[in-house]
Amino acid sequence: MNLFWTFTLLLALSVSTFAQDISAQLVYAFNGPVSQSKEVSELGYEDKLQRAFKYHHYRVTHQGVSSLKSDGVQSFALGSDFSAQIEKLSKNGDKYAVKVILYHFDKEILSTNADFSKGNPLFIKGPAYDQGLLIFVFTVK
Amino acid sequence: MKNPENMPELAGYIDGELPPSQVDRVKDMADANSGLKQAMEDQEAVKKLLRLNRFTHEVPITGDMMWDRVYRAIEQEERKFDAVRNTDLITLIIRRFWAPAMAACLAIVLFSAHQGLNDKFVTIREMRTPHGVSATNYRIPEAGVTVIWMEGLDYIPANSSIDPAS
Repeated sequence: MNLFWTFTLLLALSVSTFAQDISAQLVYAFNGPVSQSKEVSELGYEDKLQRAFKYHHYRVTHQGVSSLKSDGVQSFALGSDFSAQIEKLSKNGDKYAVKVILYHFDKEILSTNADFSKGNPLFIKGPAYDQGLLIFVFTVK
Repeated sequence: MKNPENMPELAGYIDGELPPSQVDRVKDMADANSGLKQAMEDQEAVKKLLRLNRFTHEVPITGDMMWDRVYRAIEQEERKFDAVRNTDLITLIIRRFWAPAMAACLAIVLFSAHQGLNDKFVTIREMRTPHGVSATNYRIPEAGVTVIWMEGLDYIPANSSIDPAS
């Protein structure tokens, strides 16, 4: 009996260890003064966004979290306009190879493979929006 | 009386070398002898002229000064020769080493450019998406991120469905 519980515990630990959440965020990048209508989000990777896109401020407008614990397709609704699908293709250490499909309403605007890992997010430059830019951000939690 | 110009006292008097007792004696003799007096006036005039013109006389070149001039001339010639020799050396260096120097400069520029690209975007692949949107997959090693750069998407004006805060 004890052996059974030990085995169950080890299985749960291994699943929780290898099952990592992936976060998808729609980020609005903009310049100019920060006002009440232009709040700034605490993302934790602003310096990386700054290096890649050169905007001063970033705000998350929509986000979703899903697990990469099993093979299959995870869907993220990023507001009513955009959505994303992530399919895990392989995993090598901390590095994930995924297939990313982006939709604007029902129109597929991007379908590609990409690599990313914990601490190394994937940024996708989206359309120009208002006075700035929309960026799709995928991170491993 | 002998010729007054041959009197040794007269020369001493003119040069101011006589003692006072002899000076008075020569003066008395000149008062008594018009020829002697004339001779004294002539000698004094000559002495005055010599005194006036003594600074216009050209200084004779001594032996030491001549050698100084020779040394200076030699030094000037040596300096000219050194300048010509240095110019020739520079020309030689430029002629012999301009090609390797240019190659080294080019290598430095290319290496710097390569490093600059490494610090920014490294293209992984380019792709076309179904609706005419072009996308390029980049890597920014310095920042530790992968970026997919899409171009050709239409501008979206501000709306609350995308950004509830707008």
